[in-house]
Amino acid sequence: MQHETMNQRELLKGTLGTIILQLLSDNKRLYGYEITQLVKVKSNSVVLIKEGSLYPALHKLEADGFIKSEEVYIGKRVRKYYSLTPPGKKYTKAAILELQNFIETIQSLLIPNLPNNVPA
Amino acid sequence: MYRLSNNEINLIHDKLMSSSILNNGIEPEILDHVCCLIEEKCKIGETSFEQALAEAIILVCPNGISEIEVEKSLLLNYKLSTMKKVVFFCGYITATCISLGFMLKALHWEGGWIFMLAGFGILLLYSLLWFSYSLAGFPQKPVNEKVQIVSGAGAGAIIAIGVTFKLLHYPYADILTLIGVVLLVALFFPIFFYRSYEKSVASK
Repeated sequence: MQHETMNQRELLKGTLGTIILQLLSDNKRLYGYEITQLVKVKSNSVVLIKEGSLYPALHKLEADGFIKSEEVYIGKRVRKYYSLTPPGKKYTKAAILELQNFIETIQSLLIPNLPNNVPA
Repeated sequence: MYRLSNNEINLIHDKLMSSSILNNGIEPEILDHVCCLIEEKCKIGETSFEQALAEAIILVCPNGISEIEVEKSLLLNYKLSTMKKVVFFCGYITATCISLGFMLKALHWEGGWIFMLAGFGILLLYSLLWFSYSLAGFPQKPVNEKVQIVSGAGAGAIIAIGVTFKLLHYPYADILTLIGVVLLVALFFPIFFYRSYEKSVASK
């Protein structure tokens, strides 16, 4: 059984928005539960997104205009599907690039002798 | 594919909404999420609906849906987040000053009254800040929580003024302190501890 550590939760906090955007750019539309399951499968159950972080992050991205939602009624339940907006598609590319650069920088700080690390 | 009945969905809805305080639009999604989790668990056939519901609630919102509602409000509203920090910092300073003041007074050391004065002065500020912070989603809150907020903030402010008056030898200090303590003991404490007990039972 995998346990999410405090450190992992903190690390995930700053990247959750970008992860959501990337998943939405790979899929036409997704709802909350699907996102948690996709992340779980893609990360071999290493990254488990907490619902308490996911939904506020989705609403923040929606308030910022990067994603839009549509409600679908399933009996008595309302399912909210999220998809990228045109500004969101643009922002996703920039956010992923920024995150990749950041990871490379951190990598060069932690493992200075890695062959791929090019001094700035 | 296992599908929840309308009665089961109503039951989940009532359980989730019992801890809702802000009602800020996140609840339908959490309901759908909990339903998905329960359907997934029941599909495998390993567990009953009641067991799956209890497990899903612990997984999604062990401290109630209010926790997610507040997280959303904090994320969307930076001012509220800053205010929360100020409120808790004031609370910490108040508790520290009053504790130090009592200790110095009890040991008959110098400077006790300064800490007491500072502590109760900040208690007044803390009570007012806590009250304004608690006004977020106030109309949707249950009656006992509303009474807890008003009595707690009122008692804190009145006691702070009463004790400050006492330290400065101003009139009406005794009656103000008396009213504050009665408010605290008769209203705030019973509701606070009863709600804490309810929360503890609900989280199991």
